[in-house]
Amino acid sequence: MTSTQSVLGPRSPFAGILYIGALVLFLDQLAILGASVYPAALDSVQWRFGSVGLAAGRATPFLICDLLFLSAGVLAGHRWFLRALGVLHVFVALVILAGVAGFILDTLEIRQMLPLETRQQAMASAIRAVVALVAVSIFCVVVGVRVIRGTPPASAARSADRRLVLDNRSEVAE
Amino acid sequence: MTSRLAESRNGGHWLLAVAAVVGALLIADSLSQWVQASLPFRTESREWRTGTLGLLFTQATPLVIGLLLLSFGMIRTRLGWRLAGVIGCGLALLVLALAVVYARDSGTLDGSLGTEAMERLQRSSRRTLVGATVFGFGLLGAGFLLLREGLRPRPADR
Repeated sequence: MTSTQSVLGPRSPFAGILYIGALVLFLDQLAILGASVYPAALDSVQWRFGSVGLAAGRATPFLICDLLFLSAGVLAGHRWFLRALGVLHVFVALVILAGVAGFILDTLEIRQMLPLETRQQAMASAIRAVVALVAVSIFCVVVGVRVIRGTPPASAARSADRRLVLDNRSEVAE
Repeated sequence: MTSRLAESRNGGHWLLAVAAVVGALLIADSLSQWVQASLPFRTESREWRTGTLGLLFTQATPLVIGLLLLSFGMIRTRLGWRLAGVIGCGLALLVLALAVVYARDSGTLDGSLGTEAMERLQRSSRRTLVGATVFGFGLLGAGFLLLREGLRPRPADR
């Protein structure tokens, strides 16, 4: 029987399986979202409102996929991948926040066009979407910063290791 | 120290077993919903095949997560690695074959539909095909990885 450490250890092929699982989920969700918002009509306020709402509705599967990518990177010890993912998280958070600002303006514009009976329901959906997107952007910032801090560049990690070795040597000499 | 390590290993195995059970439940839930929606079975009908396979391929997300969790529980033994690999490759071939059937059926869509409805249907079938193909090849890749690890000689075997 293999130990749990070897199943989930840094040399386990399970990281590869997690990468594949995350990629399958990501592409599947992207295809679903792409098919729902195609064809793009950026100048239409209704299209923008609907697209952001649909994207917010897909937040949970995208978060699961993100966690799978992170777990795979940590399991495989791919420092460069985690670092790139961290930077991407910060970038995505900025894009989402900019999108939320635009979405709020679009919601205010669309509010005037809607009949009274459907207005309340549309506003409730819009608030739900804003809450989901803000939560995702906070998650992205926290994860991005933590991952970037936790994975210093290889040169920094090497110099830290060298310092550790020199400190140990001087302690032994004393 | 040793007892603590053994305890953590037992805890790890317990966690893997729980993951496998949760994975099996997720798969069973998805498949039971799918079977319920596709009853009564009319395999000779092209419309039924397109609708049912389309519905199955929209369940890719819970199925992928379920299979990942299930494989966590299966790979505690060498035999488990091999078994998970064979199941993964078998499922991949099944999914890819079903994707081919879906592509063939959805390629001959009902021409009586209006242009807009037709376009929407074609877009939806293209999305489903992308999902199915990615799912199939993902399963194949994961199956190969599991099988390779299961067949790799370990120091203890030499």
